[in-house]
Amino acid sequence: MRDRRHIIYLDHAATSFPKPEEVSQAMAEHLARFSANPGRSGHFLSLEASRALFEARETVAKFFHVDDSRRVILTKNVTEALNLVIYGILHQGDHVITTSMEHNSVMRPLRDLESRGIIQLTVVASSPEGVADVKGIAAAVRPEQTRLIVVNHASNVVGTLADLDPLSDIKGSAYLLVDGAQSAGSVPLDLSKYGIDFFAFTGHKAMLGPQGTGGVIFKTGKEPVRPLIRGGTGSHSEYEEQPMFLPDYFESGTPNGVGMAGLAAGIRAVEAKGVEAIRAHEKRLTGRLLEGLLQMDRVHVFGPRDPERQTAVVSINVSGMSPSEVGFQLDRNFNICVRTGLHCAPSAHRTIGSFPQGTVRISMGASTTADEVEEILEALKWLVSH
Amino acid sequence: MAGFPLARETSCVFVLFSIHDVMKAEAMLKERGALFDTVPVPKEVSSDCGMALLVKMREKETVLRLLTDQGIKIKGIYRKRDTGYERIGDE
Repeated sequence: MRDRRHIIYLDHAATSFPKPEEVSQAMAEHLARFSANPGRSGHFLSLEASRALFEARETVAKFFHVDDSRRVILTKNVTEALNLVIYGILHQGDHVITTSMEHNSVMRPLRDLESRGIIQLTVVASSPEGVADVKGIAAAVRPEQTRLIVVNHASNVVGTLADLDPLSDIKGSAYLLVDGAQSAGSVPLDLSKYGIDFFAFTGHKAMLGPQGTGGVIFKTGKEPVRPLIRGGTGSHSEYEEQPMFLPDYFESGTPNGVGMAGLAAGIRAVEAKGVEAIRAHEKRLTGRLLEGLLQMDRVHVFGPRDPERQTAVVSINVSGMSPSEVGFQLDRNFNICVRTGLHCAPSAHRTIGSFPQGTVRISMGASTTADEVEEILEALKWLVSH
Repeated sequence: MAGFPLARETSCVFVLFSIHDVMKAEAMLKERGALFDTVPVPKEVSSDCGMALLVKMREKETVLRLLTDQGIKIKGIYRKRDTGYERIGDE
């Protein structure tokens, strides 16, 4: 059995690991002390669980500078959040615009609606660096017909950051849905400053919460979105129809109270470090990683190759080796965890020119150290010389 | 314990629209030192399985003002009478 004590985890874009100790503590405390059903029963334990869920929602709202936490709709992940908006707002005949850098959590629901003849879809090609073509998106907007524009804030394949300002400006009467899976927690973001209608996030990546947490923020709460699921909410129980108010309208069934308590603790840990400081730290790491990678002859680096223009996600390929072989060697010989392949984003890989083999994705997080970056550089040096 | 507090005529219950609003109201009222309790919605008032705020009649106006100031909507305010609950106001 290999010594797995010294692990270099560079797969933070998939999920952050390890989580801060406070996250485990908050979840263990919830489970041990008051994990009753929130918003359902009238006893004090249920009330405590309701308070914890409310506090989690408030914590998310404050984190994104949202003044009314009812507009924070909690889901099990960002995929569900994106599906909620996409399936909830689109009707027969609507036109939708997205970019070629989107994850399948966006592409698959859109392709489903397109294949059933419900929507018309325009996929605007991004640059090979993953930069959204804002002019192309603007040109694709059809007055009166374009209902929704979906873009990611940061690419999960190459980390390329989108400039949200011009996107807010060009949307016209369309709604703008931003997939913040890769940016929330690692890039400072004040939602009150942008004309974004929906911001979808996941709790288990840079927000440092556990898996099973995510959500979507509604700009006003008055957007005409239908719920993805309907059912018990603990409210308006005398009626067989879904209550129309937020957040209950969109949140049926027992919520992930334990997970949300963990998410709140994760956000507090992020806030204790400061998102600005985390971003600065990750930029330094990305800069050093890029510098080292660009010196290696057999290594091709995808994406902007510029820490200012990307998150701490770097995709590479090694000539003469498949991505999965590189990943396997890093794992087996160096205890380095990276993700290889298509990263659930085939269209993005077509855009950057790495389809169908994919890439080796190195993704760093708030807990990644400068030494760990040196270690993967050393490991790759060894790999390319053998 | 002096028994179920809803039985007293000196109290009223504020019924809000959601558990989220009750939690928000609770946190805000606590912060401001208001006297209240969070209780199940009396079945005589609504078959809703939600929670409500139990408030002394003498605190009613203060709580009403605090909730209104915070934009928390009130579904109804009810006072316990011998004959049941009497609706005495809403927002």
